[in-house]
Amino acid sequence: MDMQDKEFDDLFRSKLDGFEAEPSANVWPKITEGLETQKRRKTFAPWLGIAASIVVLIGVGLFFIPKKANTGAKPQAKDPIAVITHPAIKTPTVVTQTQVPAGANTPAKLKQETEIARVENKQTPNTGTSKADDTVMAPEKTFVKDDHQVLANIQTKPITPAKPVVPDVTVQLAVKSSIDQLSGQGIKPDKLASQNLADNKKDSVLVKRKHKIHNFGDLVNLVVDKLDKRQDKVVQFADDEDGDSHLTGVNLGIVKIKKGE
Amino acid sequence: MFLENKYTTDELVKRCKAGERKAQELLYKQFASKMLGVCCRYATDRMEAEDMMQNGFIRVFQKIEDFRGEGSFEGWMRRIMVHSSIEYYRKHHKMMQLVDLDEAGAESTSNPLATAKLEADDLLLLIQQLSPGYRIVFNLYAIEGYSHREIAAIVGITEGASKSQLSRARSILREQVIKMEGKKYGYAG
Repeated sequence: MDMQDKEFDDLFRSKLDGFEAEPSANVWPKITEGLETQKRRKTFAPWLGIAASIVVLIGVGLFFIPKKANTGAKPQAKDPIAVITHPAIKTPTVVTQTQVPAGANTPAKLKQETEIARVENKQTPNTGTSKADDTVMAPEKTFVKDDHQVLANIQTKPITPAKPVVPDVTVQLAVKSSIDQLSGQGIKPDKLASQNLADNKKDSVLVKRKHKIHNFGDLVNLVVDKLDKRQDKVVQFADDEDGDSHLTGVNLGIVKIKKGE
Repeated sequence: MFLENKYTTDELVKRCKAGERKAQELLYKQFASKMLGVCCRYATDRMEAEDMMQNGFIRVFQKIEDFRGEGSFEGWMRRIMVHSSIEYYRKHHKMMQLVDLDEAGAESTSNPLATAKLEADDLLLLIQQLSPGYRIVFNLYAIEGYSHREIAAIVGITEGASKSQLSRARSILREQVIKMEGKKYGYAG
């Protein structure tokens, strides 16, 4: 069988090894054309490389300049992401302290309480906030009207009466929220939305934000925050509405990438 | 015509290395029909063969500086043509995976020497009718004389695949040879 195969192959080889065929006349022009384009490509290649890298550098530059301007101009744009803030952790004690003087209701103190309230609200995932607000609303309105007529007169919008709501509610909420933290439940999107609204209403309030660890991204943020003190960290994550963390920034010194909010 | 014959291959190669277009043309004229003969075995038709040869010659002139004079220039050129033909299939067909298994027939017991009656053109036609995977392996093994290991490296398949494709190519060719002989000369012979 092997012999047969070999003979078979040999026959093909003897007939076809020296096989020749005359090419058509248009092949040579095509070859010279091909050689020319290759030559041109060779001479242009380095220039193309340089041009491409310049374009890329300019592109990267343009990409980062507006980003930096943005972060400087309105730092609060990030606030919605800072779902849970540091003061929130301490609030239960703070609230109990401020609760009694709240009766005095100096504007400054009220403001202070609203700050805390805001933080507390952010943290409450489970309690129907609207429900809580309703129950507290009524006593508060009277409370404000009694002691601070001026305030009530000037600000007829429902927003202002909502401010002092806090003291009574916060205690409840604080307890609940701490339970929620224990049970490890995240913050629901609809709650986030209401928080965002609250944020917009009280833009003046600035709270130093610090992430709480809910997922891997937060953990990385925490570690990087300790090691990297630059404004743009080497790696940055942010939580989205669903509580999932996403990579939003990379800073390798030369290469910086940052996703806009 | 006289001028063209004045130069030896070595001289032409030297001038081609210097990038002389006229020398390239003379070299092309000297080898074109032989190289097209090679490409024809790897192609389905003449058009494809010319495309393969065109790419092959472009590569020859680009790489001619690498030719150190070890072995014949024609052999070096042939190898480039073979590689360029296989490259052509890589680009234009998803060749190796597209082997038509139904083509493989039963092993024929006919006397292979009967093929002696067939002309080169007939055999070429039979090879061109094979599916690309079979055609390439049969060419590389039976005509170019590569080993299965070399074929595996060139084509990017396993040695086992090379062996099985070769035996299938052979059995298809045997079958076709018998058919063709029957048509041409009658079975009585």
